[in-house]
Amino acid sequence: MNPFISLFRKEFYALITGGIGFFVLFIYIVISYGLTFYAGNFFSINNKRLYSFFIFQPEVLSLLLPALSMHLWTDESKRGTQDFLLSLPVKYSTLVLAKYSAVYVYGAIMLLSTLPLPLVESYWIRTDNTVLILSYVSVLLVMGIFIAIGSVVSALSSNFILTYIGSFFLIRLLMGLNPTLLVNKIVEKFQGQISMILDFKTIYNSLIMGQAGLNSILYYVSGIVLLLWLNIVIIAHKKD
Amino acid sequence: MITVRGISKYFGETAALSDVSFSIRKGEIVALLGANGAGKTTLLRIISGLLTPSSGCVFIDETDIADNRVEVLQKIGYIAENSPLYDYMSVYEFMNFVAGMRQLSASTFSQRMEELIREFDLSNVINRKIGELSKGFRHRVSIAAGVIHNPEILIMDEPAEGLDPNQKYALINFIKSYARHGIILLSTHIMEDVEASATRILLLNEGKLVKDTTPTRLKHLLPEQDISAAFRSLTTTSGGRKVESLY
Repeated sequence: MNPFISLFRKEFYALITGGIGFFVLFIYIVISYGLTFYAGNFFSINNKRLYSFFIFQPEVLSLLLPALSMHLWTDESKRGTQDFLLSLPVKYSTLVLAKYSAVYVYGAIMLLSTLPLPLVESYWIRTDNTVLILSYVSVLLVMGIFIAIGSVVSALSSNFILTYIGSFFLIRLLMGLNPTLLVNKIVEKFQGQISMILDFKTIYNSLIMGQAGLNSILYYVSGIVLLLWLNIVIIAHKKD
Repeated sequence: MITVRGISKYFGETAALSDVSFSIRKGEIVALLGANGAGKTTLLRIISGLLTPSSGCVFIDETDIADNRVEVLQKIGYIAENSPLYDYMSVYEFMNFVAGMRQLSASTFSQRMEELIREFDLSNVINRKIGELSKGFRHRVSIAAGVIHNPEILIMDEPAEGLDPNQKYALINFIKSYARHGIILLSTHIMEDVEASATRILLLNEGKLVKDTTPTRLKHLLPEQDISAAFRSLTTTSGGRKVESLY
């Protein structure tokens, strides 16, 4: 059997049997539907892009995904099984990617639980399906970067609470990061472009409004790749 | 064959190991002895690829572990102290997981499972969660997982820690029989286990290899012919004092 599949299965199984997976899924459904219907004015605005649902997703995921990703490496450190895992003849990159993928797939399943929303919506009004699909892809990309942050933080700590708080804090920092302010005085000339390239909220909003460019997708993908690379480096050198 | 050349390891300013060199051939059961903090676990972790030395290198059959970690680890089975395992898995699930990580084929896994269940008497617990097992069974599962791929080298960190006399006896028998087709390197500070199982002793003191000998020679080092007394005469406490009175 392939080590990637073996580790992926172990992690996925741990998420489900550990109870945390179902707990997070339950909270995710309650909060997502609640915000969409009440705070998002689901019935009162022209919702052909399901804006009232997608606009809250980064907030909801920033709260819940660290609870899933904190188990990735923190759990191994806490149980003392990290040495066992690292003594197996498997590349560090395979270990990191398999663990990361397990949480990512679980996150995608969580997102699937919201499919009744666009289905119900499309029954009532003519929805913009291309934008809806792009918005779901955007949420998946946001999940990817949040889980990658959680994975990096979990590799640095053996305390669940610290891992959760650290991941949550870094995710919120990324979401609140406004590079326009940072570079304003330095390079006024390029202010607008840099904002578009690095501002999490601007990029996410443009994606769910159907105004995505390749650079928006590149922003998330490069962020995920960079964080996973950092995760591999930490795992390889943490032991020293 | 394990070849350790000039290994040193520093944690900050503290030297855990200083210029340690030796080699071990097939068929040897080598006991790594030393007081707490002597550097036994650090050395085992370096040989198992879990730590990178500050200087020096480890070769397994001519391959430097630093150059090809994955290839070298296929030849090693590492059993950590206190048998850390995944409590939420059943014994079978855990063994299946380890086999998958080691890329064993389904047929090899089935065959090895039959052998290991017989050898470690796991038939009654094979479907039980690891978290429900006694310390003795956890230990057996840990060793079974460590040898599922029939490694040429078996590294065991304090394998007899916390075992009752029957379990120790079974462990020593296993070690002796396994050494027929490989190398066993174990760390311990239980002298009776060393006398009962080891063919060679590497004695570490404050990170330095102070003696490379056999149990018989170590026993005859002092007139009283006591291996524990010999151990005490060659080692110091972590404070660097000879052991006269600790209490």
